Amino acid sequence: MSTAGTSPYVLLEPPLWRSLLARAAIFRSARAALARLTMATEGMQAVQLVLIELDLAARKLADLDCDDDTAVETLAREWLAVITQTIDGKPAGPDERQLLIELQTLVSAASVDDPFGELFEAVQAQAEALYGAGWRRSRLSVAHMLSHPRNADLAADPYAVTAMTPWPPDAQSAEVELRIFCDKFGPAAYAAVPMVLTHEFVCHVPAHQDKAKNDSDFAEGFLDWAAYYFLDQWASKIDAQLAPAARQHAERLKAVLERRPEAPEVHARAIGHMAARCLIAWLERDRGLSKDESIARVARLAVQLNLVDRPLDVKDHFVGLLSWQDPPPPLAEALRSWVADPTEAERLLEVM
Amino acid sequence: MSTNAGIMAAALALQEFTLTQLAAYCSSEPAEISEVMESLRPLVERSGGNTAESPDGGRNSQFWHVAQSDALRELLAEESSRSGTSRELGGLRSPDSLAGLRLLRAEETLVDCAAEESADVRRVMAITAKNYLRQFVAEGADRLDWWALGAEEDEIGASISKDWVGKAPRLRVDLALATLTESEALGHNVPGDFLIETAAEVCELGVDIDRPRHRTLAERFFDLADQLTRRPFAGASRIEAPERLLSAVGWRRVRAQVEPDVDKAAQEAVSLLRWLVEKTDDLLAGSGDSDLYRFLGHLPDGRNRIAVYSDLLQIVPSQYDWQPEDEVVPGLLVEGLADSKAAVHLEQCANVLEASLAQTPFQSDSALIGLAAHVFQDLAARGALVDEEVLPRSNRARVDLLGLADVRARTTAPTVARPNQSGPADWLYRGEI
Repeated sequence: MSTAGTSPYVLLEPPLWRSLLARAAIFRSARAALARLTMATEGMQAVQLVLIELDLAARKLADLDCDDDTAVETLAREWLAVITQTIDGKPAGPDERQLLIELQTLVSAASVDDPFGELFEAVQAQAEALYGAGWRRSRLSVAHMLSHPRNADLAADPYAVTAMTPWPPDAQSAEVELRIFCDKFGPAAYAAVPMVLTHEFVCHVPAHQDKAKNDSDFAEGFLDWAAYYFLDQWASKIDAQLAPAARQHAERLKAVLERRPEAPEVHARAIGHMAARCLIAWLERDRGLSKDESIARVARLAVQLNLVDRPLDVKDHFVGLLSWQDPPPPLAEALRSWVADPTEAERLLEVM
Repeated sequence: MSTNAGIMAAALALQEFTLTQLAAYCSSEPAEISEVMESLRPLVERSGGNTAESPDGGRNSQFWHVAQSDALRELLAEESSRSGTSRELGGLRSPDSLAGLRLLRAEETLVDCAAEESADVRRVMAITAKNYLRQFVAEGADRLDWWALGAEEDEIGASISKDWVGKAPRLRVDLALATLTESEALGHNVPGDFLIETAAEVCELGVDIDRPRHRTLAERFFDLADQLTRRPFAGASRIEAPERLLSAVGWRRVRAQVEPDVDKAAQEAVSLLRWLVEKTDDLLAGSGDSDLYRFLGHLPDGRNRIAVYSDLLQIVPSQYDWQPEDEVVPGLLVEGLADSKAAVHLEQCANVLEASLAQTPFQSDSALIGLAAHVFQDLAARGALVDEEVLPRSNRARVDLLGLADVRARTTAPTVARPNQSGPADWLYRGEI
């Protein structure tokens, strides 16, 4: 816990940290209801209003010179008062009322533990099991953004959070930087944090690559598809109560990111995802594998190739060959060999 | 998907695994997986050997392997049909958006080649782009075997053909860029006609593409054409340096035109390429003089038809008679009619410039352009003895040239030069270029 005037993250000033922690602590406490809470904002005015009040109360915390405990307690108390007042005084439908009552109970148990650190370590544990000896231990940093990551309207894109893994990597350990537009960090953004972290851990932290490339069909496309697969597998293990909201907002975040039709990174993601789906369909058709086994194999292939020391553009080339109904004959032969012996993944990159 | 189905699917994908490794591929914890593994025996079996790290006392680090894949698959199929549908893969984009996507990825990959230092990787990127173009064309033609389109071009020595992409300028330019990128990476020669034809197609891109993308693709083509038209000519150093100066100035002027008017830049590139190709043919044939100044013939009225490097015209005194007739290469080479004084003056200036270029040990484009700019300064001083206005005109030309070399120009106050000054200035060698 940080004392007054301090912050556990170098890139986050204490007042901002206080405000962000309090928001995130509230969302964490309400995580069992988060899926319904974020859907509710689209039609339930009373819930929308209490969230606005939460935002206002959280901003005022920046002026309060206090420790983490006080910040979380203050926000929880003020918000509980708003919720109670809303339940007592304002008209609401039965579902809305039920949600508010549930929030009352959940928020009263808000904890001061760093929710970002907690999620970070939970996701890292899964990624470490995935990559085994190929894993690089990483540390979290949290930084404040001055604006929305995509300069978007919050109503259409509530995900005021993104992440990056610096390249070239540090020889000893990796760093994952969570970048948050603190003033607009809402429940949907909190629910998206597991997916954002999973993307970094699956795609970038252990990656063997010769350059940073934000529009890589492999690193941002094929591996991103794998990251979605793994998040689906890990969500309940990361946080069982948050899992429904984490899955829901992972998909919504994907849809939001696809709404920038001119961005090369969006094209790369689409190509990579398409390549994964094409390969899955081919495995079912050509090798007679079940869909579930095919999906698991493709996810495994993405992980294997991420650890291969070959230029990123060679891996991108491979993804390009896959992004079709059937792979070209030489690659089809190589894939059949790979199915028979899954340890021979690197040879797939030699097909030109 | 049921828990058991997920565990079985992961086991089949991994074939050999520890419980910890398999847990990463499903929603179950190692303890649950262990129970399932035990229940699946003999379809799965323990393997010999533990991993080195076993914080849980070794249980989760014990290796298992799939002993009977076919039987396990049958069991998985039964489990999946019992428990319902398998996981969804997420919505697919519409076929139309996917087709456009491949074209965009091809172009983005081609543009990214400019920043790639490794020739081997640039070649791979060019092949990747070409594959995306093939897929794009195949989809439009309802063909499944995209890899067969233009396959004959993949053989070394095959002639360059753009027939399979059809007539749309955008596709033809994209394919040309992929071909040129690959040729440049491999150090192969490219026929001059192919470059000229592609430049002409770049002129037509505007009807097929938005303006920002037109500029980006045009710039990439100009960069490649510049690189591919540089030719080392052994034993022709006297001619080589002037030609390289003209080529450097020409391509930089084309690139500078892209932002304000990409169509005009493309048209100028066509002229430049025609001149470069013709020049290359002359030099390979052992003929051809420097194009800084070329006498073309006498007119009955006593004037001379000449061809000259355009920038030299800025240091011709206004009292001399010069009349332009034809731009051989816009902004670079011009044909016109000159009286005797103008012709002699221009020829002398061209000779001084040529001699300076031949002597300099610095061969980069910027160095040659900087040297030319400095020589203009000296030549302008001579011209100013006849016409003071030569100095400010030449200053403007010099600033323009230095801008092309990405150098901030120092404009000097007009002074009357001492005629005996010659040779490159000291500041050139102090590395200010």
